[in-house]
Amino acid sequence: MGNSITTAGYTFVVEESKEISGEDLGLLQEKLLQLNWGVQHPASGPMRLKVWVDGDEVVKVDPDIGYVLRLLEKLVEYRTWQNAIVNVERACFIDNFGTMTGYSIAAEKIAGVEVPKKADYVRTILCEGGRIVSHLIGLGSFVGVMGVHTPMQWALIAREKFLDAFEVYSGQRIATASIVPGGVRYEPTGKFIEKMVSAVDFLEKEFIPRYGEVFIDNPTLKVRSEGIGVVPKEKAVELGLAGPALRASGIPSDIRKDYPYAAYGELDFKVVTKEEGDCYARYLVIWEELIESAKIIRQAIEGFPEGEWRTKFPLKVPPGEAYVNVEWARGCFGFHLISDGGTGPYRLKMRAPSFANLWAMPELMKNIKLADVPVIFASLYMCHGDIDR
Amino acid sequence: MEAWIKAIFFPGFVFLLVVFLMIFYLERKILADVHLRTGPYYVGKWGILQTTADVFKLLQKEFIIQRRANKLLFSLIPFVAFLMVAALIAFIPFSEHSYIVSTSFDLLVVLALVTGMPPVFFYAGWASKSKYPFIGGLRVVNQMISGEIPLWLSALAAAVFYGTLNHLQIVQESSILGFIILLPAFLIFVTATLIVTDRPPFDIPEAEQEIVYGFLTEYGGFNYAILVLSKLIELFALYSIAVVLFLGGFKGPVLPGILWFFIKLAGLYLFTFVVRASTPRIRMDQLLRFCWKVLTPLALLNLAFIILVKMFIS
Amino acid sequence: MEAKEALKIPIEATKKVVRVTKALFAPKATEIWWDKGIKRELHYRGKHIINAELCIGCSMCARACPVNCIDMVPTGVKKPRAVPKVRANECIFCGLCEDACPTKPEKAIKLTDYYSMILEDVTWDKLTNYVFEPENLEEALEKAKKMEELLEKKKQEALKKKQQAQQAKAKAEAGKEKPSVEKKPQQEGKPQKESKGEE
Repeated sequence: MGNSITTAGYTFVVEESKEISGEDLGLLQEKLLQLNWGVQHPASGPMRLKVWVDGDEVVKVDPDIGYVLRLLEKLVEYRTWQNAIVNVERACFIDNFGTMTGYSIAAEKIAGVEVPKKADYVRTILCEGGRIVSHLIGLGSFVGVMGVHTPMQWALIAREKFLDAFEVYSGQRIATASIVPGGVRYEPTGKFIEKMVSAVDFLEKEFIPRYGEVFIDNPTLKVRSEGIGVVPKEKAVELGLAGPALRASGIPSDIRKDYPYAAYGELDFKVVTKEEGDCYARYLVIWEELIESAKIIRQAIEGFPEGEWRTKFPLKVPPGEAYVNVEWARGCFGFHLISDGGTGPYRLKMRAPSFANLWAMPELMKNIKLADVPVIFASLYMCHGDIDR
Repeated sequence: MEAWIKAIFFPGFVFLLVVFLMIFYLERKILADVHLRTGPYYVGKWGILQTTADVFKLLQKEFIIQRRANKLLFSLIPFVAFLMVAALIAFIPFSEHSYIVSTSFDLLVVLALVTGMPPVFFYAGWASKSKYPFIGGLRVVNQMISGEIPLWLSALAAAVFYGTLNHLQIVQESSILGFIILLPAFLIFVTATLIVTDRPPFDIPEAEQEIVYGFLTEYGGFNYAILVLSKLIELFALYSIAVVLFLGGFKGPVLPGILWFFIKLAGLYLFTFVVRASTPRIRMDQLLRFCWKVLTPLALLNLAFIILVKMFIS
Repeated sequence: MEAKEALKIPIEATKKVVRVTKALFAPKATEIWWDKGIKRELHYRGKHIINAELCIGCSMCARACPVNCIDMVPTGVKKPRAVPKVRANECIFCGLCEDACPTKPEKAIKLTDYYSMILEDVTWDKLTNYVFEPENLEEALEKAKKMEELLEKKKQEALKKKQQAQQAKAKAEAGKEKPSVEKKPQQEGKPQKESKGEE
């Protein structure tokens, strides 16, 4: 089958056997060069992108995924209601609070359990912390594909303070397993609130001014990313984009405002949109969402209520179904949870936002040069663990 | 005897090696300072011996030649590049008495040798017989052709102003007035140097995120060390020429001449490293547009301006 | 790209370069941590400590574990019926077993902040046999056995006394035809006294 490798009964295709002919695509020349912007590449992540190139121009792009498949949705069926958070939180390791919150809200909807107010506020603070942490890495990797590694290093320094706060809260920095159906697992102590406030202080007083004066109006950054990968407003909804990519095309869709969950109904923030829909607009949306999240955390800490932080969740849940959306760092994450009266979920289906963004990417990569492939890829802000689950 | 000392130690091969190690170390340290981290710290005091350790590690590694690569060309290219670049150092006066040759056409030889580098790097990409190095080699040719013309025009503007191609005479006749009149030529020369030697923001032929390290992809071990060494020495040589032509070479009030030379060189290097930490790289067609529509007309205008000034002075 | 805009780009880039050099004078963020000891916060999830004296053998921890790495090892006594044994190679240190343990005032299985779990000459056999076990198992079992023997003894004594009381009652029943109004309070007094003595 062309240039392929057969080991242990499986066949891996390295190059397509039927070559893409230039005449089919309306070009003058016949042979096109297929580049594997592939799994072993400095900037691709665990995903392979087949890029057909005519000189310096890209003719066709075809993604190839499945390298991070861990069968999370199947593993959840072997767990109990409380245990399943361990699998659900590992969908993406950078922002794991959003996935746990979504699953917990879905389970509580089926069981008819009401969480106390304090748990809602703690969930909000943690989710916004996760969003900040994820956006910091998104900023760093977008400028990182253009050869400058300074933003990534500055962002990681600011991220450390947030990871310290998560460690004070739950004992772990990244895979915390701290939001369960029924509330949150640990008590939000004064030390946790202190660490969170100092992390947000560092972000607002040191990181944002220093970063904003160098990398926001940067001339070569704008030359490189303005006008590239433009998505007009109608096409954004048609393609099914999610998250910052959707909001950068002018559509003000944010689950925190449209269907409020946790404590978002009582907090005051604005939804960031831009009009142009190119890579630079997506970058600016991530930046401004970062600033908004810092304000949300401050508001939540000021209005922090008293009370319990965990209620009892029943061992067996009556049969039912629930679908819940949460606004994760990279878009709208959907959880479809089905229960048939047992001790654990019967089926969980996760709708991943990065999966939708990925399959919209070949549409954006028409008539561009080879050097624009990593820029568009990094601006769509995808997480590979979330594409494959 | 003195000739042998000059050829081997200063300014000879040992000097080049030491310069390579120190510049690499300084680049890592200054980049780390901008990134708010420490950089090399443990190997030797303040990490000075870190690059030496890295070079020794590279020397002991196996270098792999692909089965379908052109073996002779692939193995020879790094040494050819190193020889061409080492020959450049012979024409640079580091102080009044430490230079290897001083002829009446120094500048021409230097510029001609620099222009001879692009085919060598293209052959490095061609001999690898692999997709990504081939694209890197093509990009090298593209970029260097566009960057050579402003380099020649701005360097020759200085030669026109001083009326001679000999480096020693240029340094001796330099003055503050000369520096101010030649300032546009200096800026164009520095930009053209960055373009010709693939330094960020113009490091398109070795763009890691797009073409996996360009024409250097298949090189590993000793070959790789020599190729990177020759690229660094090329930059060192061009910056030394900039110091000699525009910044007054080894002239300075109190300290010995050679120290002033290295101080001025360090200033230029600091500028390069900080530019690397803050400017994203631009695309190939944007670079070509910039070179041919902006840089070359400016260099031509600058040459005309210098000729005008020369007419009025003499 | 117009010529004027193209000229603005180097000027703007130089401005950004100047602003970046300000970072050269900012304090560094690198910390040296290995001579201070690894800091561990309150809820650090490290090695398990299993207290066999408090454990009641309900196996809630084994049911709560997501990766099924807790085995219940049966002991010989009645309480605890079985004690947990954690396979350290598979444990993900999530802490759900600690949440599920019902004993009061302290939990029988706890995650401490002990993090150094080093094996020498690691082979696959050694890894699969690396377990966290209750440390005071022998003493707890002895105590439990002693408790059981004590309880057995007390039970036997109570049984014997009950038999004696029944025999005495039967005798009294047999000698009931004789008028024994005076004997009744005596008989009633006897069993009461003896039952008090038992307690």
